[in-house]
Amino acid sequence: MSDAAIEVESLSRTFKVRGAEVVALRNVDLRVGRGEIVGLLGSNGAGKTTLTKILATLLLPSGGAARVFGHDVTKDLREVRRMIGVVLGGDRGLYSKLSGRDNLRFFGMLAGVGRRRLAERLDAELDRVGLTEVADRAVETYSKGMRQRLHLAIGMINEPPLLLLDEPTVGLDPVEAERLRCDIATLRDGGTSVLLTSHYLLDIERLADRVVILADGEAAADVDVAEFAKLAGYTAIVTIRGMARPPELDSHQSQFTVIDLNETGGLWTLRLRVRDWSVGSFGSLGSMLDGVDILGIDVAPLRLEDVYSHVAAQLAAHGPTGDGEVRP
Amino acid sequence: MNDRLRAATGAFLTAARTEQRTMHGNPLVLINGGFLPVALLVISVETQPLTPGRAAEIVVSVMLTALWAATIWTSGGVLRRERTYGTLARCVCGVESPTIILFGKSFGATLYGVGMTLATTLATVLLLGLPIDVAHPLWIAVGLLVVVVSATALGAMLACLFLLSQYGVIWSGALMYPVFVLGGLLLPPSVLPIWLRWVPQLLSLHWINEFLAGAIDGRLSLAPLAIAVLLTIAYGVLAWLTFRWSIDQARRKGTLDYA
Repeated sequence: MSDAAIEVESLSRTFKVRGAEVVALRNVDLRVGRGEIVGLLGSNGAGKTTLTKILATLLLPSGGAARVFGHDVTKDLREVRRMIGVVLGGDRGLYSKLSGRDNLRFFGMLAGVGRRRLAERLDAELDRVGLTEVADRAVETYSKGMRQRLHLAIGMINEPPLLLLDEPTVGLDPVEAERLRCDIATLRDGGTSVLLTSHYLLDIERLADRVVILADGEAAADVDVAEFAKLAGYTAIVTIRGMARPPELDSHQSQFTVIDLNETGGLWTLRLRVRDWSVGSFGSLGSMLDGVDILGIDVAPLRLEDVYSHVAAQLAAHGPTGDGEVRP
Repeated sequence: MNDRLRAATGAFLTAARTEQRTMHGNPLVLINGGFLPVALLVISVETQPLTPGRAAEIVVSVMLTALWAATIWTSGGVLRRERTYGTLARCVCGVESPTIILFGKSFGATLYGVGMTLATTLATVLLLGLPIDVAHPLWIAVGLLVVVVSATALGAMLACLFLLSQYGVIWSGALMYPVFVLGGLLLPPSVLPIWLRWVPQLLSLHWINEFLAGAIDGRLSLAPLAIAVLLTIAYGVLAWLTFRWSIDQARRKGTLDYA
């Protein structure tokens, strides 16, 4: 079996929309190692769902190659389908009149789990996602979070070594979303490889080892989560509110960059980016604000969401470089 | 039985059972399998004097008419319903053959429809005290078995054809009454214009109708049964080809969605 869970080489896909060719994926390269969780980011229409569908054997590529544990997704359908579990966000994709257990049984059978094995797996999987108590209730009575956990159980019923997760926490309240993240983290600990598509940067931050950004159908960035944070070029945002005269930045305080300064009725708000936030930054900030009337200071550490906004703005301005790098 | 065959059988039966469970309380089944045979039988027997042979003809025709209505809305709609639930992609992209799942689901829906139609028809016959003597009960059982298999194949074929069109529901409604009239179930084909008499020949239910009526009143002939079986095989092959083609097209065009 191949070393990589997913290998994608020069993958392309075009669609015909009202006679015109629309490029959804353009020469995308991607590799997901065994036991690795890779976050797939991108704005709407960037090609994330197209890539997930090709890997799930739902869609044929127009060019290039995609392999799951060495099996070609266009030829070795049965082998690929045995190796993957697919989990999607949303309310659909379940038989609402049937119980959670019956849904799981049916989809387990579709995933090729034998009858005897399925009998054992049903209880184990329902227990793992915390649905044992409600397993015999009709799915139409389930909350959104319970449905999503059932989707996860369906994706894992055949114990696949690779899980494709598309927006798994969409629409969930914070408690349910956190619970689902814990479930997914447990899978990683068990050695399952995961390709995680999400708009929620918190999902990526909590779960992913690596981030791939798709933009206009191209892989615009492919970096470790730690490296990804550096793409923004700063580590924190400081917001200072004061009155009368705002401070002036001198050349010694080059670690601060002004984002904006708003003044209204004698009050002002200054927002600064801090290149490398440390305890020493308080000293620099203190000397900068000496003699200034301060009403309050907030220091917000960098979030992946900020990084992504920064990268997305760069991509919108300059487009992908085509070599998997993002301009700083 | 080898592992592959055992898995395929398990998949077929699980698909059938799942479909039956989703059908519980479906109003279309209740109307077509429950209400329709009762209404048609009551109306038919009130309007004419009945000999045992004529009563048998009416009962079989009514039962098959109700079955056609149930088939077109239940097994004929299995794929359309999967699309509505957002489960179609999982059904056709699982490890098990999608064709087995389709036929399993169609079989489950047909059994549900046949069961309800048969039960209400029998109950109505008993309540009305219709004079029916069954000459060949064993052949009746064989005929009913062919009814189930044929309606399964017919339903699967319709499900595939309806899936190709975005107007599947409209097609279901539009096809129901022409088959009632032209299918030789309610009206004898002899009353149809000559240029329309070929239509009933293409419908397996018409031939099963002829066979069952003969098995009840003693005029047994196996030729209609053989033609019904051949038509059933043709429906099955057409369903298989259409289904494979539509999945292939959907994977090329990207119209298969998980949800």
